[in-house]
Amino acid sequence: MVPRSLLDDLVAILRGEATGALELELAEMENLFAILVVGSLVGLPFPPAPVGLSILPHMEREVGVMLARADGLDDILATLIGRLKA
Amino acid sequence: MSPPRTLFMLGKGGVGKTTCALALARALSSTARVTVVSLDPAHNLGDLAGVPLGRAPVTLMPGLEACEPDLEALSRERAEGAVDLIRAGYRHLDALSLGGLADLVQHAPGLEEQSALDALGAFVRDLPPEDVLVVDMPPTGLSVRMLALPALSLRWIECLAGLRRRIIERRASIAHVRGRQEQDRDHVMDRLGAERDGLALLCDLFENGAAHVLVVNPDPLSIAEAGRLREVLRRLGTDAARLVINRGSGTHEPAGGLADLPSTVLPDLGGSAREPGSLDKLGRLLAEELG
Ligand SMILES: Nc1ncnc2c1ncn2[C@@H]1O[C@H](COP(=O)(O)OP(=O)(O)O)[C@@H](O)[C@H]1O
Ligand SMILES: [Mg+2]
Repeated sequence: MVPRSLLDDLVAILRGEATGALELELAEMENLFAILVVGSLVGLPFPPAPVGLSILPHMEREVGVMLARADGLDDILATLIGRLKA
Repeated sequence: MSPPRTLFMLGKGGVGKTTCALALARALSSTARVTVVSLDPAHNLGDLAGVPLGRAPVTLMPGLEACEPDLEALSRERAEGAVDLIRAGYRHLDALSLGGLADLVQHAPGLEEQSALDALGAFVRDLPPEDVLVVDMPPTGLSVRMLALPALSLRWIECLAGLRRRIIERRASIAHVRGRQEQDRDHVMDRLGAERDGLALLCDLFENGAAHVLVVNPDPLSIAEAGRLREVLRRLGTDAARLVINRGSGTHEPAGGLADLPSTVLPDLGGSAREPGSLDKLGRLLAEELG
């Protein structure tokens, strides 16, 4: 029989790794959120809306990549959460 | 081709920009073909001229055309045009999720300014260099943003085009390795180029070609706003060409920060200011120096 404490340690380590990865993703999202909220206030440059509007219709491919990234972020989180629950 | 001779009437709301623009345009139309365009969302050039005005120029008298484009309608069209293209071009996008997007985009910061620039740009491109274009500008806030937008957008376009060039190169080399052919026209690059051409024309006009006329009344608020406009012009690398002191008495003290500008004083004509005879009188005074 595996000693109780070793099992606990193993779970703690696995949990730690999982949360480590989670924390990375979380930090990424928090970073993005902060950039969205305060970016323009601290001078993070955004192009004037008319410039963006003019080229956006021709950016199907790039917007696809962007959306896939956003979806992927969710997938990674879902996978990690799934593992943790199992 | 060179742009038409262009004069911008700038200043606080109510100082007499529209009155001066029409008066000057009438006076100049005796010797040149003149177009007077109002970019003020308040729409009172038509009221003053006594003719309903819209986007298409209307002849007010021989040699003088006027128009008053609706900036809100133009912003709306720009937003809807882009959303229609997205709807047609984004194959995997749920068409329904685009409902209402035009409403949002129409009111995005910069759209109204860009609409004013689009309207102005059409005349600057199409009128011959011997023509005169008199522009009745919007109130200070919108004017400032309008004057600043071409230079700002141009810097962004340079930056985006540079990044785009690298993306195109990278795509081409990946396609090459895989033995495939990348499409050779990049529509994003084409759009950036088209926007750049339109904006460069206006940038050049604002910074080098046009005469910026600051209109004030003998009161500290309108003078302060004109000072602010002059600062913006200087930051663009240019300056005001003239100060018009409308409804001045002629005995006012020189305005702070504007005292070194050549100035024209226009009399207060009271309730008759809107009559053709009064406009002609103001126009003669303005044309003496700005003709
Ligand atoms: N020299 C003047 N004497 C008397 N009234 C004037 C004079 N110039 C303008 N006005 C009046 O002042 C008001 C505002 O003028 P307007 O040209 O519409 O200003 P703006 O276009 O700058 O808002 C109008 O009622 C106009 O008739
Ligand atoms: Mg006006």
